[in-house]
Amino acid sequence: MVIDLNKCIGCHTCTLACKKQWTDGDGMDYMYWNNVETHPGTGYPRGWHTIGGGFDQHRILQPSPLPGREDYGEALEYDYGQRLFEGGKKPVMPRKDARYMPNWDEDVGGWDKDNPHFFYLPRICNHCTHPACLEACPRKAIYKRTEDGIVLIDQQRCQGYRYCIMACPYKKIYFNEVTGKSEKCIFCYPRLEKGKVNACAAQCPGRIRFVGLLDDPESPVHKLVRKYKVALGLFPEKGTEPNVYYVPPFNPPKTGNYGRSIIDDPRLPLDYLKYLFGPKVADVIVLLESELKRAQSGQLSEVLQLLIGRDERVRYRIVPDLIHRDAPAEVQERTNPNELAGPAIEKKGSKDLPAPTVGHAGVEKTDAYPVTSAASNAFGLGALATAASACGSCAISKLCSSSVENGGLGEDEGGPVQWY
Amino acid sequence: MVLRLSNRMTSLPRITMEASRPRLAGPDARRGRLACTFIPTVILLNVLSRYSMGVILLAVVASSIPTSSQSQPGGAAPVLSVKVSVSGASPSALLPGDDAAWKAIPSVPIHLDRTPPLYDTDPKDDGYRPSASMQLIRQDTSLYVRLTWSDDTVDSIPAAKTYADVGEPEVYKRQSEVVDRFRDAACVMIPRERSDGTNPSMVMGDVGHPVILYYWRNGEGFAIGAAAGRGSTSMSATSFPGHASHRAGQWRVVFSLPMKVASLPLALAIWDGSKDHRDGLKYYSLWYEVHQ
Repeated sequence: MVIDLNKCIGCHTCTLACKKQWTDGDGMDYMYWNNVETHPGTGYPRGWHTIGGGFDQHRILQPSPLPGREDYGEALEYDYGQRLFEGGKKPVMPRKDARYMPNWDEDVGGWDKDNPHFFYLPRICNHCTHPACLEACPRKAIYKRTEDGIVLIDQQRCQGYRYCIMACPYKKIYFNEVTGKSEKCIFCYPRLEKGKVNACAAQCPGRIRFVGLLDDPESPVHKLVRKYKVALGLFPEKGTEPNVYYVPPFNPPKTGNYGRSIIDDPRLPLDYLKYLFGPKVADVIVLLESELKRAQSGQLSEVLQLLIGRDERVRYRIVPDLIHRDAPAEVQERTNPNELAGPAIEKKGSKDLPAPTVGHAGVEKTDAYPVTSAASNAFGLGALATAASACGSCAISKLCSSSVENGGLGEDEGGPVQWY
Repeated sequence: MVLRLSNRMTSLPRITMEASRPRLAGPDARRGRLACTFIPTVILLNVLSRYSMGVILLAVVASSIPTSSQSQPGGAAPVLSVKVSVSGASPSALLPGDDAAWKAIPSVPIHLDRTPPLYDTDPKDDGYRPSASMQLIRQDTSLYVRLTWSDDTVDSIPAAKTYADVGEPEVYKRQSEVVDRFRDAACVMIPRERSDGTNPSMVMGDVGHPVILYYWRNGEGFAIGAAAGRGSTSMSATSFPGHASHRAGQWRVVFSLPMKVASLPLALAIWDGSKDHRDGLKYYSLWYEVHQ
């Protein structure tokens, strides 16, 4: 995934889409597999980018202390009852005072030479090429899927030891106290396997997310990372090789409608961007600035045209055939059409749902976009076997009770839900 | 690396480790560290435990008085032998652990050691060892193990809260209240079978010698698990009778195990949640030979 930070407006729709889709179950109150935080800032959990994790230069794991619940903040419960049902006149208030919460320092940012500045940083699990979490798990409960690189936690093997949380430099694994297991972003693999893009991307009003395979020359991710080289991973020095890339902010306006390059007239401190994305960020900014100049002079800038992301055909390329082409034999075998048989996924809103023992195997025919029918078969079936075998393999117990198709927020065929 | 047997703390053998580890890189480093620390320990413990069945090294005291250990000439395996008392008390009386039957028999002091760190980043051994003892009562085909050890703190993952409110209680979820604490726990490990007369590896058994694990986890209760080597532990949903209480800085946990044979080896492990103990980070004992 590539996320263009120049276009993020900090609306948190991605966060809510993810929350509604995956993490509204018991024990998941503080989990934000996707969150958006203001930078410069402390982030979520508090201080995640300063407490450690990842590998050192010798590739030795450097686990951090475990963040405490105080570093996540308590989920606020409001006394609606007195106001709504008991005739109370007091304003609805939280039961406790908040001391921290996601996006606690929203829009605070930094202040440098009378120059206030901030930008938004949406974050999910980076599904790293060398996951520190995987390396740290003594149970071997964490695995990286061969076919697409998605990193998952086997919920059957996980014993809740939390070495993975200590090892993750991004602190994107959460401990569920109710289940006693650790849980994390699953990159919406049940959606991908049905040809649907991730919920966070599907719902993004700013169209800032690009999804595809890094090795697929046709994918926008390949183009932005490998071809145009305008997207960088977060904290590359942590040694995990994150697979979520960011197009750095490069031209925020100070006043008026037009900005100037951060190199020439830094509204955002270049050092802070280097802190987040490494020294290559300066080269990326120069490159993007030159592309902007080219576009402003009336010429065509392919990279800016791509970054505009006019429609889903530009932003997403989910082609299961490509995944399966390079997948090991056992994965390709899952394309057996006979495996399609299975109960349909339960629709959202249905209570008393069946136990998720077989429900994950359900695959409905969808108007999956942009997958062709053949590709849909390939991916959908991969989905079938994978999801069926993964019922206990990741935190998707609510898959059976939630519509995977609707992106968490009631996505219609016309696009993301309207928030106004 | 120096592996040393020492009787410094008690008359029972104590394993200490002094390691000077080469630093390797990446996954090799992990394997390397495992090779440096884990494997010799496993080998040592295997040697200690496997020869224990073939060579009786300890005098078995006629009553239920704990025995002390001796070393086989050549420094081979220590064996710890404990005799079981027989009681006619009812199971319901034995389980809470304060029946007169328990007071009538002496306690066997248990020597515990802490597992060596597997990784450079593991918490350092602070040298502390809990004071622990064990009592054994057999009743018909059940073996009651009353394990007592010192622990000033009661550590558990508190039961997640559910907020009820007027109107729509179903919308309120159970919350994760504490996410950085670990629970106190204890375990009695026994071999699944003794076909070849050797005890399983101390490190959760091994492929040829699987073990059955009787776990108590504070706040969670008693459950049976199985393993055949480190990292292979699987928990079942099956519980077993047991009782746990904490008084005056001591945990007292009674396990009820099936025992249909004349003698049975068992090993013990204790986790201290306040020291972030979990997984292989724990206090452990060597094999005890329990017989009537």
